[in-house]
Amino acid sequence: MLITKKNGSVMIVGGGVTGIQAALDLADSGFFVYLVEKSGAIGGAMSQLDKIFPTNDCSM
Amino acid sequence: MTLSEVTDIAGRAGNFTVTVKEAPRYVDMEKCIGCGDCTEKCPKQIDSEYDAETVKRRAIYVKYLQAVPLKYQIDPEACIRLQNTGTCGACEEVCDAGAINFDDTEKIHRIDVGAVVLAPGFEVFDPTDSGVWGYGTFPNVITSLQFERYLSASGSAKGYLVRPSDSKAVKKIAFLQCVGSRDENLCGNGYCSSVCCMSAIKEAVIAKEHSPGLQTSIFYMDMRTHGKEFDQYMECARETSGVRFVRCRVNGVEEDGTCDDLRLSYINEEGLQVEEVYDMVVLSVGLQTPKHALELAHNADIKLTGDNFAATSDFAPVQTSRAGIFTCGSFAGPKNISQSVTSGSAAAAAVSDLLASARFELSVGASFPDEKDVSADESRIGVFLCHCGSNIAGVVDVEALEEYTATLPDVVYVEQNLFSCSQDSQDMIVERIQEQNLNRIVVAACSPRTHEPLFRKTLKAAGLNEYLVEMANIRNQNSWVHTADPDAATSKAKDLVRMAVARVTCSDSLKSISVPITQKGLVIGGGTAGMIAALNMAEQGFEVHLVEKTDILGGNALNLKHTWSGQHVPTEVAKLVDKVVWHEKIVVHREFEVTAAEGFVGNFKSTLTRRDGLKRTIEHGAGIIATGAEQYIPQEYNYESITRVVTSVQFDKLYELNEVHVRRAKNFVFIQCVGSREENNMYCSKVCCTHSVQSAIGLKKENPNRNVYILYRDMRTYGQREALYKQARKLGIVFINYELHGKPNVIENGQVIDVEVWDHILHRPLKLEADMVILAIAIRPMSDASTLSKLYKVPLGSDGFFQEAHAKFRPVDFSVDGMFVAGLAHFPKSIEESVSQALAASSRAVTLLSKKEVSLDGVTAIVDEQNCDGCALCVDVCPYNAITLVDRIADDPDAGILIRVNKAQCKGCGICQGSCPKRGVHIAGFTMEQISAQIRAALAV
Amino acid sequence: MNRWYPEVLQEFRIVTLFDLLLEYLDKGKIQLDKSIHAVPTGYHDPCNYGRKSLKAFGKAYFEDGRAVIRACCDDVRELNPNRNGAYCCGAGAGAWAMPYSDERVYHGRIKARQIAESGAELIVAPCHTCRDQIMKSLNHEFDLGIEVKYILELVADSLILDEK
Repeated sequence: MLITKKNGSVMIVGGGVTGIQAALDLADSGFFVYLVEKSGAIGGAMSQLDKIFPTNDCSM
Repeated sequence: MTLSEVTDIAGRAGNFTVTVKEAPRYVDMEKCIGCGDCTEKCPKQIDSEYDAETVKRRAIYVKYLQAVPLKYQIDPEACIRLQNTGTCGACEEVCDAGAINFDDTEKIHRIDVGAVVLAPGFEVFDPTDSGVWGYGTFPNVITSLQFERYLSASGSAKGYLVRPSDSKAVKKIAFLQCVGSRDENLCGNGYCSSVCCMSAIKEAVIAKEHSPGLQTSIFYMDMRTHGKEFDQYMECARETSGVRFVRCRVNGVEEDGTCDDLRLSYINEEGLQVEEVYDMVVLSVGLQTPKHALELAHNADIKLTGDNFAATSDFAPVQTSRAGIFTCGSFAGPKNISQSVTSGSAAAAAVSDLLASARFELSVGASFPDEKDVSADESRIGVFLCHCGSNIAGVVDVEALEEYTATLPDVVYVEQNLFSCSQDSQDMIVERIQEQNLNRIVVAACSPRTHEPLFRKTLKAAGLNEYLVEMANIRNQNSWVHTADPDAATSKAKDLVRMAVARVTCSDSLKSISVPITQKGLVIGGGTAGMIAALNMAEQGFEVHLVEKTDILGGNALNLKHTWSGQHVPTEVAKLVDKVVWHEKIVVHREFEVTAAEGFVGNFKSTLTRRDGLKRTIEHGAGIIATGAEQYIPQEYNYESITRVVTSVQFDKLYELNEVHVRRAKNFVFIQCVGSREENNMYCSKVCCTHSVQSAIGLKKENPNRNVYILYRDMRTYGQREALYKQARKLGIVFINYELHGKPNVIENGQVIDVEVWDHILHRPLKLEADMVILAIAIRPMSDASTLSKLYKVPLGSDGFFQEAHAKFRPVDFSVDGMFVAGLAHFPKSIEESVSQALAASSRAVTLLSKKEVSLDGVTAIVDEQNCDGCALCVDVCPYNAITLVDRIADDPDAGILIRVNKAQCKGCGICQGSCPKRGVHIAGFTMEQISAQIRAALAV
Repeated sequence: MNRWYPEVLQEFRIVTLFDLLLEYLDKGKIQLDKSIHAVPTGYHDPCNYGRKSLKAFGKAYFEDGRAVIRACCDDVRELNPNRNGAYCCGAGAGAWAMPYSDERVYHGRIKARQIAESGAELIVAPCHTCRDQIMKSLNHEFDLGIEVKYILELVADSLILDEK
């Protein structure tokens, strides 16, 4: 049985809060992460929100 | 990689080749410092996507001012120069950094990766085509996203609510729910977007805070506030903030006269036709999969559900139809932020599982030069004064500040920067440190809260101890708040710099401590969540101990038959149990409970005790609490006295066994919210509406002659489960809404059970003669949760469920480092969410366990053994329980006691230093010497 | 017709009023003078031509009528809501007949208010029941002060005829 060596990097498509969380966890666990974002900056929909329940933090 | 899109994914799990199309930015990212001069000169204005078209942006723009990366970009469709060579070019002329590049081209990259995670998010529904809402025709009808932008301090109105049409202050707002969701007629999106109810409530409450006296009304069909603490928030919004809730689907919006006011005609809960006029109408628009994501799914052969979301399994919610390609966030179904963040971690866990063999192979650690020892040297302080664009320089006279700073003692070098935090400034600071032989740095700029880590890295890159930098916040604490008085601001800036210089003179090099980690995990609870978490960690090569109180694995899932999407639970659970029991890295401790726990992150020691007294001690680096939840035993509805009033769990079993009472029954009545959403238990058990609907559908399909009724308060068949609600109605199941003040009466009446309820459509009391009454009981926290809570010092929330560190950003972490939570123990949830959370907890645990040691911040408490006399004032006030009393000399109680600080638990908050009357403890980096120097410098004239 | 008598269709062509008018306009068979109806004009979407046709046959006639009146008038106002969500005139399904005169006035009150608020002085109603209801019933009961025409009427009144 041919066992192919696995590539230790990951591509995350989408730089919103979800993609960022996945990227951070993976990078912290020892994988190289490519975070690919379609627009000019990461942050996604959440950066457009004013305040977040329950702590009323700003979304930044 | 920004401005990039994935166009193709070839290969297989472990070895993909992804084609990424990078669109040209037309701005050189290395040179751009984000100053914004270009955008001011650009003549072309178009609607800003970020601001949901409430504001205009230019052709050359930055997405928003806090964007990461903070670099500008040119929109090729809008740019005059790019559409017509030889024209305009104003930005290029005005750019000091020479960063504009009109000759930039598209680049195609082919990148080899082991796994792909799709997290493309969602786009909001565009109500323009729906016509009836008046969106696009009436200026004061806006979407919820636009409303967020209006509320935002960074939006066009800076948070002051005024109407788009005439800038009049807004007095009355109506929120219309389910625009673009639960609506197959106008838009084809039959599913529920699951987040908009909560979003509207939040917006209403915040809008009221912005504009006192504002009236808000939310028009809804079902109030879907089913998440953790959401129902409490809703009640608070209703009682305290005065948000008005009207259960009615408003059909459309009209203009009232010619003054841009909006008129809503609707039938209220009493059946009367009502008309109301509002200043503004906010459409709570639904979430749908963005077009580019649909394209990608098509190109990459990812299967989608009928609602255009990624098709996943309830037991593998982050796995798409293609092995090695995972998904998270709203692409797999509408989610709120907590669920999204959890699923992001879950996807990470799934990837780790797949690629565990390749861990660390490609990761790049940051490397720094050796640290120079400057303890013996005289202070040579370098001060960098930041302009922060015009944020500081626009108010503070930086020239005068530079002149003044040069006169301060021990300052040997002063320089001004436009943006100290930009990459090129960083590089320049490193050079200066080396060429000027500086050994202490002051950066007069913005807030250390955001930028201190950045400048610490700069010092490391220059070979200096990272703690030898001090920031003077002359922006947030100065130029931003004294814009009207530049002279005072300059004077205050001088004071702040003087203080920082005085303090840094006394700064010492600090060492970060490294603590080795036990690379093992402990999972408490052998239910679905516990097993999934244990398996994920074990597959990645870590030894896991799984503790289960009873003698079987499976937990609450053993009571379930099918998930909402029809998957057979017993089969899946049996598979899980099998894998867990036979896994070489998992040790299962059946009939054990945790009876003692000690230690800290990376170094826990837990004691397990069996019923017969046998004890085992486990050392582990991280722990996951997945102890599940209990069923509520009803006291209402005569449950105890009437045989055929049963709980949902009991009913499932009876139905499965084709028990005689079920077989013979013709009329079934389900009562929802039994034990939930009431005083003392103001939370939603989340899964019961879906569960009852499933059971009801089963009953009706088996025998359409049966009469099935569901008495509910709000039907919470959220997300794609809405399809079940529709199916139930089509089958003829009758749904009757009751309110909390009019709970149904259940009375035995001979052979039948009379259920009396007020029908909300007929406006009359209804008596149903039921053969069987099924109570949708609440999910209660485990009665012994507090025991575990005390053992590991992890908090319980007001509902009795375990409380996570941060509802949104750390939904599976506890505030105690190294401990995590998953499953029902956290809050009632469905199986797919439990699995997602369990994977997330595993992922978070693995970020810890994958390292051999954990590095702790050097800013921790240090005991002065001479001064400390063991009065223990600090022990009580420490919020992290990091201080303990020990004997001065071991085994010699007469020698006195003093405190010892556990550096791993200490967070350097300084409360101990503040409460100590004897100078017995201080925080490294905040010595009395440093603080006194700062105070003296502040008072110096 | 297609389904039951296909052979008839080979001999005869069956078109709706809208198709015919649009054909005449496209081919330039008729010339229209816009100045004749130089008042704010609104288009009423009849239920049968619009949403019912959409539900029953899959095709609705919303844009066709509008294209015709745009060729006849300059100042065309949209009544809101319109098209599929338009307000019914209130007199359909037999309500125009006696003894429902009170009921249809009551049903049509919302349409009347809509017309009043739009500022339109001329309403074009392609359906004869709608036109009757609006012209004879709503206009009087609610003092709308408007003129109402059939779409054919509008086109006919706008025609530029060769002097013979």
